[in-house]
Amino acid sequence: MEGLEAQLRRLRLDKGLVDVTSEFRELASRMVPESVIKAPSFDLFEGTHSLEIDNPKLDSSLLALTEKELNFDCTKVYGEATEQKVEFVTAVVDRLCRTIVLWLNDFQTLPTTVLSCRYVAHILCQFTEDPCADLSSCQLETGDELFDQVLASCVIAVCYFVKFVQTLFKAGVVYEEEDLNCNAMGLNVLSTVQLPTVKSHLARSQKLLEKSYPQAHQLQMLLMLLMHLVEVYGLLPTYFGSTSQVDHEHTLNKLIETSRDLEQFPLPDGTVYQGAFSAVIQKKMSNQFPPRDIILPTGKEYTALADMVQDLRFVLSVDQAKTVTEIAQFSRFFNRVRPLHVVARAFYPLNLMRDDQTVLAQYTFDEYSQLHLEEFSFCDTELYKLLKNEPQTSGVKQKFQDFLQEISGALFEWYQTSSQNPCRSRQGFNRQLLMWDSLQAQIETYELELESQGIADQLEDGSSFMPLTTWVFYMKLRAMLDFVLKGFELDVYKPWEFFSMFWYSYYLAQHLENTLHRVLNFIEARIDSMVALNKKIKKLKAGEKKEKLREAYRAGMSSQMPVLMKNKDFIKYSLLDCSVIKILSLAQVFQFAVLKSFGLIDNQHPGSGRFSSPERVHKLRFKTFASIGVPELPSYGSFQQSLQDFVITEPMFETKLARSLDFNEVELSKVKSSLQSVFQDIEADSGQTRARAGTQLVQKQALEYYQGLLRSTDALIINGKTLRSKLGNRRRDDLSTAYTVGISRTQGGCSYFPLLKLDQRKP
Amino acid sequence: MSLSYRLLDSSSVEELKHVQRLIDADLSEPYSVYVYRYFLNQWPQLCYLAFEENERDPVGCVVCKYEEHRGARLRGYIGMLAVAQQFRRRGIAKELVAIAIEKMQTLGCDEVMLETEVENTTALSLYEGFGFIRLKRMFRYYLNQGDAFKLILPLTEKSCTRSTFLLQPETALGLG
Repeated sequence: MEGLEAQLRRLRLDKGLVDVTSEFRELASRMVPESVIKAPSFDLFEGTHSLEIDNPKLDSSLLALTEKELNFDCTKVYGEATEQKVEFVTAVVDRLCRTIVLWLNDFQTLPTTVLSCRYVAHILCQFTEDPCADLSSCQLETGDELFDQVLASCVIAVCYFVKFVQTLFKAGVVYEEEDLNCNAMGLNVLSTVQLPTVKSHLARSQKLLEKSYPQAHQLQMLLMLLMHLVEVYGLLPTYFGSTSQVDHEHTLNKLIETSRDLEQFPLPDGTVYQGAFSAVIQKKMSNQFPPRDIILPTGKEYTALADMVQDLRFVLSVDQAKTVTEIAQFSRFFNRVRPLHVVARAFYPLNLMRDDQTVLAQYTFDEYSQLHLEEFSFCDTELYKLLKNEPQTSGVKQKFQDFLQEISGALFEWYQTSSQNPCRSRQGFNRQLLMWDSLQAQIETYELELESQGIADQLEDGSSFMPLTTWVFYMKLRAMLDFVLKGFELDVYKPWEFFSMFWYSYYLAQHLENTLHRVLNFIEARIDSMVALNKKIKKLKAGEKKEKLREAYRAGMSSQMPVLMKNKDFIKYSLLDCSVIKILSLAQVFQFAVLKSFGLIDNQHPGSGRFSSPERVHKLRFKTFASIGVPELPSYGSFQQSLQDFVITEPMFETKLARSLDFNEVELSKVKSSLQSVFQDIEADSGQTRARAGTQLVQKQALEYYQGLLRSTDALIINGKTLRSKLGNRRRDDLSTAYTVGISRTQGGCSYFPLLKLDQRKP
Repeated sequence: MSLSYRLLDSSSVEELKHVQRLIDADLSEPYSVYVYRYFLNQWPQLCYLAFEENERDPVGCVVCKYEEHRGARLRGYIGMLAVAQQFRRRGIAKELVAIAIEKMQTLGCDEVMLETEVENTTALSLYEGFGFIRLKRMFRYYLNQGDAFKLILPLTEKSCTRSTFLLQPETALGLG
């Protein structure tokens, strides 16, 4: 304090300073004691990220640097002879390439990886000060061409790849600090620089290496790698048109090839480039992060880079999809069993739903939404036929177009969800529920209006079909099921919740199955009616009427019939898929009920009594669904009653128990047979023109998912047998002293179906 | 040896330092003095300390706050909880949490929320013992890259209704 006062006394107003002492005192007198001084918009979340001067855990200016780090100079040549210079530059570039992978694969920050390179920081500082699009401000100025041209090129190329990732990040599919850290400490990462400028810089370096440093083999390969890496920027849809699909394939293949070639080189000795990678940037620049150690390479970076590129190539293959169902199935499976690389996940929706309001530059959003409807329930309906001949100005058509926009919004959310990390994906399904629910209510009203005007489709039993509402309901049920089941994947539910969640999943799957059956009935009726038309034509005498019917028959057979046939196949596959989920959920309900019958588990929260109640906790868990109109959430009482119905009681406990376990086993064997049919559908996809499951582009991933379900089915069968042998046939009260109920995950099984297993209680 | 619990004296810099010491020793997240001040100065009535008969300094603490959530309900929040290593397994954390929840209940909170590391089974079992349930999982939530669970304990019916519907009374009453 004394020092501070001495400093204050030394201040002189004649140095252009203004005396604010009185204002300061006046403002300070108005401060309320013990209040926190903060902007009104500043909240706790930001507060937990605040840094603190002089706190070693939070103040990066306290970081200690070595002599080599302090003395490192980017404008100096390192190495005496050419060989040493090449060794130095090669080692720096190699490490720099590896830092990209460390940044992206290990979820590290830029300052601890790419920006820890002194050359990167140096060049980006220059560019930030003077952002010349021709890269003229990005210089090393050592006076040696190997450094000034080749090393500078490599640094620029790495920065350009960082710019590519930043562009993906801005699309908002992946999240800062969860999936990716894109904070570049306020440095401008070549924002004004175009891809051709970077490529020419690299090309000049390639020529120089070939001419003057032919022995620098590894450096040439690294330069080649970086050349292909910057070309990845050309994959961005904004660049489409200037580069072709063939170019993309070539770039990515070359990138994989060069990465594989670089795997052969061992990690260079770090002493070669001491000081070139350090925490200097954290210490000297405005750092918003707590101090962190810089990340060291492990030697597996090029393999990881090749894997990343493979994932990128895989998500680009969605371009080959021929139908909307194929795209939807691609989205369902591409990131399901094995999460893809964050760059591929971020790239996927950006490539699919483009800024120019198209899907893959093939369909407008409205067209795409309409095709979603047509490839499910809308084809050959009365509204479908009416809209074909209706003028653009008609009210019915305009309202339909409005709905297509609404549908596009919900679909946009659905596709984005498929690309997100598992936690965000579950939240995405949660967000979709209200969206689909509100859309269903609006579309139902529209279809009821149409019905009153005679534009209606009926099922064979005379009930109303409502093709649009049916599709929205189908999408909503799928989102609800995914939201519920993803909770198991993420360990959100405790064993006591298994009954409620699986029973509800069974309930939803039952609704989904009914919906799919309705659609199948409708499609089969349309197909039958079209086939019957031919017979009718044959019976008619020649004339105008016959010709008109023949024309209608030909048109129907060429346009609607192929779609109806495909839809029929897809619905049949979807029914198998749904029945698997339904029966597996039911089997879980049965196993829970068996455990409850022996007094080993209950569906009430064991600790909810003191401050809450079992009913309130249950309502909190189902809060998301309470506001959904259809299907209505069963009451708490219904859940309780249902469990009672499943629980085995005396008399004839033994017989009922055996019957229950036998029934479960029979049902699970049906699942296995359904899964065999699904495998056939998926495998048939590759060879047939009529793709049943629409999974030809994600065949491996889809098979992997269903094989997981098969393993889970087997595990449930075995678990049933284990329960039978451990629990015996008769109700006993002492079992809870011998066993506890835990959760077990089947190796290679589906993450949606963990098991309730019996663990021996520890003495 | 007996244990006692009392509110923190927010005017005492010494007590703030004790809280900092207890928390810093344990939590993976480094907190700045701002974070402590933010809680302790605004909600001193929700910071409790645990004392052991023979110890001069506190051996445990719980730091909480409560605020209106989305304009629809009052939400309590347990921000930090720590017990010194040598005083664990004596029920101190459990008692501190119980005292804090009771207080939040008397302040009219509709629910209590907190986040905890997925790997911290001790903390999960402590909170789940009070009736908290895992509402969602958050990906790489902590600096150590660990996931977190968001846990909620519903104290009133308001906790069980979506905020959107609490703000539309006619819908909540089934009139809309």
